[in-house]
Amino acid sequence: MTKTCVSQIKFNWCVFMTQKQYLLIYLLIMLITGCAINDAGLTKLRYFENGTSYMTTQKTWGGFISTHHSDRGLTLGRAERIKVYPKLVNNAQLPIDQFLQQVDSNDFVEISNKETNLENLQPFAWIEKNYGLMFHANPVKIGFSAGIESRNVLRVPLDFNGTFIINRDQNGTVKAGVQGELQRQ
Amino acid sequence: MKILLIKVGFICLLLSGCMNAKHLVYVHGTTLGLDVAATTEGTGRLVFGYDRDTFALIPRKKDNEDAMSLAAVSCIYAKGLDDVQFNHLISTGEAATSIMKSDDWQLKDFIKRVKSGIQGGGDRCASPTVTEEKNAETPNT
Repeated sequence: MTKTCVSQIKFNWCVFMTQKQYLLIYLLIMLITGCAINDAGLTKLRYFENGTSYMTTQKTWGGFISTHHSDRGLTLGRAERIKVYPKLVNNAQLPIDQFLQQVDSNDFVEISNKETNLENLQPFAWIEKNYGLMFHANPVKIGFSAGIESRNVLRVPLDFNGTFIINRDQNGTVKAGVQGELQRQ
Repeated sequence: MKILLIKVGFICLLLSGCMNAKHLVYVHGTTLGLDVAATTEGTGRLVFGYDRDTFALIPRKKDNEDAMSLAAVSCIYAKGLDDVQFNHLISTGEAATSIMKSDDWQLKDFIKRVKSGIQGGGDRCASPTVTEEKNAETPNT
């Protein structure tokens, strides 16, 4: 290639090609060194639960492919996910104050990933943060992004009948709860 | 001609949102960089630089019917890309209908209680300032 870089135009082309090659090599290294598909590969996935909800947190570095309906896509760089799933709907009537208090005091506790299978559940809310190159193919976004992006999503099915609450404070602590009926007293 | 078709296709792709929604959706997103997106739930966008986007989508119960029953109190407080507080209470179906059937003062009371529960009673979502103010007030009361 150096032999062809004689004239200025050819030299510029040569520099461009070299940069392109570096970029490709960088992406390739990233894909080889750090690659994850859903929960398999170089990823840190943790499971939590409280009385009425499950929560997962996931961090990946390098290439990350998600085939889950909520965040289907490919990320080259760094990806962080927090997803909240409804566990059960308590149909007993609760006064609103009691429900809010219950959500506030019912912290998420870490559980083993062997105890949980969330494959068939859809998250009601999720928080994602991505750095690098992203290709999205999910209901909330279909497209391409480069840079940094942060997204907070609440997505509840049409047939859900009840009350869902999610609180994420300034420290990043997440609290959530699901309830069937509420008393207005 | 080819370029025109590509342009028309791209515009159609960007405008393809808000059709046949089957979920109640609330999205708050921030982008720094390049973002080219279409969506089946929401709005398409083309961004270069910094952009913040917030939207909600309330689906119809069935085609040509009213929107689903919903009672919601939300508070989003965002400062930059890292400090984002995301607080929601949503009631749907019978639970929402039951809340909305309340008397006016009951409804106001309900909203006040929820706001207090999810926002710490402040204008912002339990921001440090609000918490500090509350803590400062406690010894006097």
